[in-house]
Amino acid sequence: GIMPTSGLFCAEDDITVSGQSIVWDRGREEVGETRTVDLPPPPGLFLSPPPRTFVNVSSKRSFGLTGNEDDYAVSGISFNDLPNELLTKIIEELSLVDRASLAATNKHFGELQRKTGYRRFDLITFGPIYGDDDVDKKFLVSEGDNMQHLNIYPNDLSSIEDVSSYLNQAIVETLWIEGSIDQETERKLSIAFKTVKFQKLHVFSDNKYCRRLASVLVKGRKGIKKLNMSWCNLENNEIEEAKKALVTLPPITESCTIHSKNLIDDEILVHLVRKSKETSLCGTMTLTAQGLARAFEMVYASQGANKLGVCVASTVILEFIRHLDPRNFSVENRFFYVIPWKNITHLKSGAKISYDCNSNGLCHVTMQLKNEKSVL
Amino acid sequence: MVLITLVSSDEQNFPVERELLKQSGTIETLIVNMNLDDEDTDAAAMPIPLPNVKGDVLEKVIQWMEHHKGDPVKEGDNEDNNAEIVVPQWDDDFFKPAMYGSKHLELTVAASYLDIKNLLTLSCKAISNTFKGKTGPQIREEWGVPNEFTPEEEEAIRKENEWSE
Repeated sequence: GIMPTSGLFCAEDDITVSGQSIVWDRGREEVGETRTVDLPPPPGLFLSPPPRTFVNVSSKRSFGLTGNEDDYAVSGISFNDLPNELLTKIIEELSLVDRASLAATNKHFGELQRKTGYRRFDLITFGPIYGDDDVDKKFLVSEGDNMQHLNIYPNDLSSIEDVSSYLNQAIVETLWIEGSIDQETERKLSIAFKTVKFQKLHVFSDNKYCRRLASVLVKGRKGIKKLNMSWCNLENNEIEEAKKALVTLPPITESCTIHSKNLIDDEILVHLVRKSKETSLCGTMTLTAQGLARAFEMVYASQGANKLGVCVASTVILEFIRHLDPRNFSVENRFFYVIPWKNITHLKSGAKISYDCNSNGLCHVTMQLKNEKSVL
Repeated sequence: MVLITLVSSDEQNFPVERELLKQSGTIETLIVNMNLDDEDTDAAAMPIPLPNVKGDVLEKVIQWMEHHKGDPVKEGDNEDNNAEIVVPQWDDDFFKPAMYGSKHLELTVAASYLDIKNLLTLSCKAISNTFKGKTGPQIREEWGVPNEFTPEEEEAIRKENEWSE
């Protein structure tokens, strides 16, 4: 069933290839057929008609890989023979402890383990060295059976290539950054954490470079569960940039806590309520009663966060209450020990606002859907 | 039901339901390139040779695909997914009997060659699960990895890994 084609090698039971096209004549019953495909030939394509015996997979054996070597025609490969690409995939799934064990079996596996990213951590911290820190164990510490911690100290960044290679595509539950940093450290940490996938980010520093680092780290990220950042003490030239960073925050699936001073306005509040399941905003804000009303509307209509904590001036909350339609809301006064607080309920949804005010005219307001449990 | 014939390296033929083969990126590309989806094409007469997969391994691959028929096919690596992979019970039972032998490794290599992402992921995860809590010497013994280290090198590695003990 093979027909030689012009200028091409063609052997019986073999393939005929012509650059970017393949021409073959396949034997099909008595007739045969010629096809031309304007694509490179699939690997191993051959021309002989299919043998007439077929294997019926479903009826031949029950499920499961049998352990009987006789079932295999040719003795197979060993673990050492696996291509690096597959070994890498296997290593990526190992915990740090198991990676160390694999690395201890063989030089090749040791080398491969070192080069393979995707290390998994429960916590990565960056911050200054405290008195009781064991700096000899700064780079890799395992605590308990399942907790994988990595502490990075400023001095570790002297070899940023090593750190970023070690953290390549690392998967971490919590990334914790604290202390003041300088511009150079900000640059190095941006490189080190560039490919790190984190679920929770805590930045406990109100340092300008730390703020900027946090903005860079969250920009365009997906899958962030918790975000805890400080944006107080902003310099004037930082405010616009910080606002831009906040309105471009990606969705936060659990909670977003931001400490700030005169940064949160109505627009940012609405954005954060839309983007995060729980939003907690601390510090002074430039919110209006309209912004508060819009945020509460989103909470009781389940259009975003189902819990919001925010601080506003008492004048703002009083104006907000003044504009409530009594047909839709009920207001009650309560006491928590000696502290008076109010409870406002949206009658249709059961969503509540609670607030209490201090003597400085600042009120802490909590909005939440009925029976919503806090994840903060 | 359209059947497409896969031919293993030892020339065993496996007629396989077209739908199942969507799980294999490699075969799917071949089907498209060979126009086997065209109504005018007699797909049964155009077997797809898989010269890198032996019949017994291909048979297991097909069994696996049959069980996972209709599962969503993974499109590339999901970069947003940080969750640890869990091998479902059926797959664990499927892999386990041959785990430390060549069969499971051949299945893994075949999954890679055939670009069956879900099978490859689960198969690699099943292998990595066998390392859990094991020491280097235990892994060596179970998987037949030769020890290339001198006693001095081994001692140095042990010290390096003290943190993990």
